Amino acid sequence: MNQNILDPTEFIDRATTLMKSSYVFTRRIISALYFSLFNYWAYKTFHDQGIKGKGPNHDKFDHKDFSRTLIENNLGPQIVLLYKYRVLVDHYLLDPNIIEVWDKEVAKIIREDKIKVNINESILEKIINSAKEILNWLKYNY
Amino acid sequence: MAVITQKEQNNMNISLAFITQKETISKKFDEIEQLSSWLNANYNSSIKELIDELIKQSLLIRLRRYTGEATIEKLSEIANSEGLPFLTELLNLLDDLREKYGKYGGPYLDCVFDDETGELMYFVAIFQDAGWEEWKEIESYLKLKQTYTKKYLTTLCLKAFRE
Repeated sequence: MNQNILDPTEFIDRATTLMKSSYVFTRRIISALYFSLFNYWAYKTFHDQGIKGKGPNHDKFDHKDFSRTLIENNLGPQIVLLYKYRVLVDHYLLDPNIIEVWDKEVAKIIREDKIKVNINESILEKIINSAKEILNWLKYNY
Repeated sequence: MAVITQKEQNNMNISLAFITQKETISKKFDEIEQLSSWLNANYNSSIKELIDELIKQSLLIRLRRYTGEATIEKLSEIANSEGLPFLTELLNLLDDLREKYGKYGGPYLDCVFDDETGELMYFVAIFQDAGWEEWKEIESYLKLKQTYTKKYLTTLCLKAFRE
């Protein structure tokens, strides 16, 4: 299997041009950006680094390990932003919605207007740029 | 088994006294840490484990300034595998972030889970009023200071979602 077969460079370029064409495209492409990077990371982990995952073929990897790898390598804001929005578009329906704060005691401290978010032009730019920064790191440094 | 001198017995009594004075553990942290090293060098591992547990509880009590009980439980689980340096560094980092970036409304410590499996992914230090540029700055500052928490702790700046 070609080492670069899951390199999402072209996908990300083409997908981001379609991102604003309709609301369904926007939501689905946010999710696809995340998963294209996750797949690429898993593929490089398996092939380039020789690390075994789970499952009968040892090719199933955890999202937590993907995130932790990026966090460890100075891409915390990029993966946190992308993951939070990926969860919003895959698991929640309403827009605007809220960024979930898990710890109830912390959630009580933070005002609701601080966690209310929507999908707008500005956030799409941040998501696209974050995806590209993660891609570059995976491509050239991982 | 080594014979325990009166002086050593006295030192052990001091360590046991800490057990019954949980509320003062926080203040005695430095002494306990030194005592732990001394016990580690001179006595068996069970005493070391006991003292380590006291230090761990002391650190968790201090971390309550930044988060709720549910997150403390998760931190305790990670500390079991990563050891005390994880908690010590985390507390120092949060103190440091509060001093330097407290103007941005934080940090408050929260957990992020894998939405499909329910597994803990990482911890986030939340700032309510920091935007995208400040987020990157805070993260860069954090990363320079991390060793034991590097893959577990990142930041989450809520204003970046609303800009």
